Amino acid sequence: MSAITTTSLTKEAVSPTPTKILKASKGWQPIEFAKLFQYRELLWFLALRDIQVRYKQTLLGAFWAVIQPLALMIVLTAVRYIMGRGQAISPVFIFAAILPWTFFSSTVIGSTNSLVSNAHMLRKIYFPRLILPLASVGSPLLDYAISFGVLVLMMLWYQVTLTWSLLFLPVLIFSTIIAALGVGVLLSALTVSYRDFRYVVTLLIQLWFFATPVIYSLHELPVHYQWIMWLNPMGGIIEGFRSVILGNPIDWIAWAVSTQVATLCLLLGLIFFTRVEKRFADIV
Amino acid sequence: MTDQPIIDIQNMGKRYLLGGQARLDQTIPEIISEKCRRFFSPKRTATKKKQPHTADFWALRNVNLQIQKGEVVGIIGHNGAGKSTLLKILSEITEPTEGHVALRGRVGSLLEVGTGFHPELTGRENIFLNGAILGMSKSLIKAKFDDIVEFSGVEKFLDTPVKRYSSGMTVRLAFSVAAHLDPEILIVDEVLAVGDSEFQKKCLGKMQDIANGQGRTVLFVSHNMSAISNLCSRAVLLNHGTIVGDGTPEDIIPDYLNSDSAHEHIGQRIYLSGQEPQKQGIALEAIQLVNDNQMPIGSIGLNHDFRIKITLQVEQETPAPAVAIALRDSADTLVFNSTNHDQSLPVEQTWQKGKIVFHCHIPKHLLNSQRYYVGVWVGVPCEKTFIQVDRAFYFDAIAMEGAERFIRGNKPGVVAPILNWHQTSHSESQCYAT
Repeated sequence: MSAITTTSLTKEAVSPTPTKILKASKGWQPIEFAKLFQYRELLWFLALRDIQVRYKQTLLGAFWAVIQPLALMIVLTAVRYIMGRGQAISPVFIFAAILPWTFFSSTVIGSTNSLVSNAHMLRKIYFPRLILPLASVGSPLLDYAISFGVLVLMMLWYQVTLTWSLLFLPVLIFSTIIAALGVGVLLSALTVSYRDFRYVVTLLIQLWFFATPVIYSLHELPVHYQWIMWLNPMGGIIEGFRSVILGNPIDWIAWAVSTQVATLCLLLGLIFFTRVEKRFADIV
Repeated sequence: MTDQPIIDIQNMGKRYLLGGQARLDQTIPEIISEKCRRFFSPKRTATKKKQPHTADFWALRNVNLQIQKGEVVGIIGHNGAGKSTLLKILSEITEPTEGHVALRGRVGSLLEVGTGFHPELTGRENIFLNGAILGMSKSLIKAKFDDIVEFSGVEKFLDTPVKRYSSGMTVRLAFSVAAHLDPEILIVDEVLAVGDSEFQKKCLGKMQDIANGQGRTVLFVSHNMSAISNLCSRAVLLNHGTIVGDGTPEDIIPDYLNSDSAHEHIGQRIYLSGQEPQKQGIALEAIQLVNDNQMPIGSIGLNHDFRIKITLQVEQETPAPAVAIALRDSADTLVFNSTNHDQSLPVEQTWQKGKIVFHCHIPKHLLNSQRYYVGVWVGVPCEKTFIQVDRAFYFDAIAMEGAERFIRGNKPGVVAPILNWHQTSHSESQCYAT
């Protein structure tokens, strides 16, 4: 017993880098958070690449980050006006929800496609595969920050009072990231095998938009059915964004349940991803 | 120092499921229509049995290899021998199916030049991005930035998007980033196939520095035997997924060359239909040695002109790539290569569907009396390769009878051209007078 310990000790002393064993992995694998941390700079550079490339060779550049949600806001405010039989609704009400929704949907679509659109990297270079879907948070987040400036201007124009609850914004953004990755990580791994999921994701996002309180408020629903909306990861979170911006009391239960569901999705997604990621280079 | 090998491969194998992958390529409508067709086909039972089921393909099998620290190992073998799969496993891109590998050092691998380069980003931005992809830290890239730029020789274009670079410049920049990686084990796959010869020389020199000067372990795949014998202290020959030779390059390279199927082909290589090397609708039907009367021949007299005839089949109209031939001697030294773009004559811009025949005329009194191997290449220079057969066939160049034999036979050198000589005489006094 003691002999074995001594040899292993000397081995360690001689070779500075630990021995790495490569062999077939079977079944469920632990999520390698340490590896991810080690590659954090790559995460940063890939996110930066997406940001740098996003508006290259466009005339309007970063203005697009503002134009898209603004146009959507105008249309949706008009729709609400027509459907509400002339009862106007504040554009701020809509815009406050469109921004996190756009952030969510572009992150989901971006991360779903991230592995397939970087297939050449998967085939030729080693790095933790999870970096790719994670890095797709970067440029939607920047778009959110830019268009948030417009939201602040609108709040001033419509004389919405700024309250302390705005301080919860980072928490809500973090919840949104969890929700978006919860779906994106899972779909990205599935897309590697079956490209169907690229079409699934666009359809999913379209339907999800109407199932989420963007153009309506959670509180406009019948009280008995509001809990269903909590199970929608984005339901409570979008409502939270709106409350924070309009200075309404935050529905903490809705936020907490939605975030819990989102976290659960993310965990399942991560577990599935880690199980299949070793095959990516062979089948992508 | 420890005696433990830095790379220890034990009984390693890698299996690809061909059938399994084919399944992924089918859409549900395709599967349904196939099932329906089979159901309604009269010979239903017969066709059902014939369908091949999941086919296994072992890209590597029973590989055992120990590499010591500081060794420079060349991996050689024909296309499909498993070289790239081996490197992919060692770089952790894919997992072995059986057996295991122990790595006792940090691995840096360069399986393709310029993976992860983004065309819209500038050279400077791409250096940082590519460095990070290859596993370098930001501070390391910063420290080496000037070296990288100097080695690549693209200083002037650092702030230009890479999409405006020539392909040669992109390759130079990409190799420079990778060459400044600082791993204990460097894995390099056939990167010298691109770039001009001057830069290739520079790359080889850099790899030599890494190997000899810094005492790192290098694994190097190449089809270029002179690079292998110059650079490597050891060569490993792979064939159909197993190691069939391991020793000094001097011992192993002849084995590789002899295992070459070019030895079975004298004067021509004609591919059976369905077995042609082909890509993107361009297929190589035949490459032949012909005399001036277009008759196929197996050897050529040194005092005769001859041609190399390349027959290609084009399936659809396509922008015309370049066609090249290469002559090598039996030690695999390149004698020369020649492309249809060498002359400053207009070349057809597109290829129509159908058969295209190229003739490359080779003048008499150029070659020496020895055996030559002919290779053919079709592609876009520095960008894409459609067809590459390094050694399609061989032929013997023979010194013919008569006085010529005494003058020209058995001269040293890979070629023995008859050149024009011109003599002018000056008397001694005149020379010193000026």
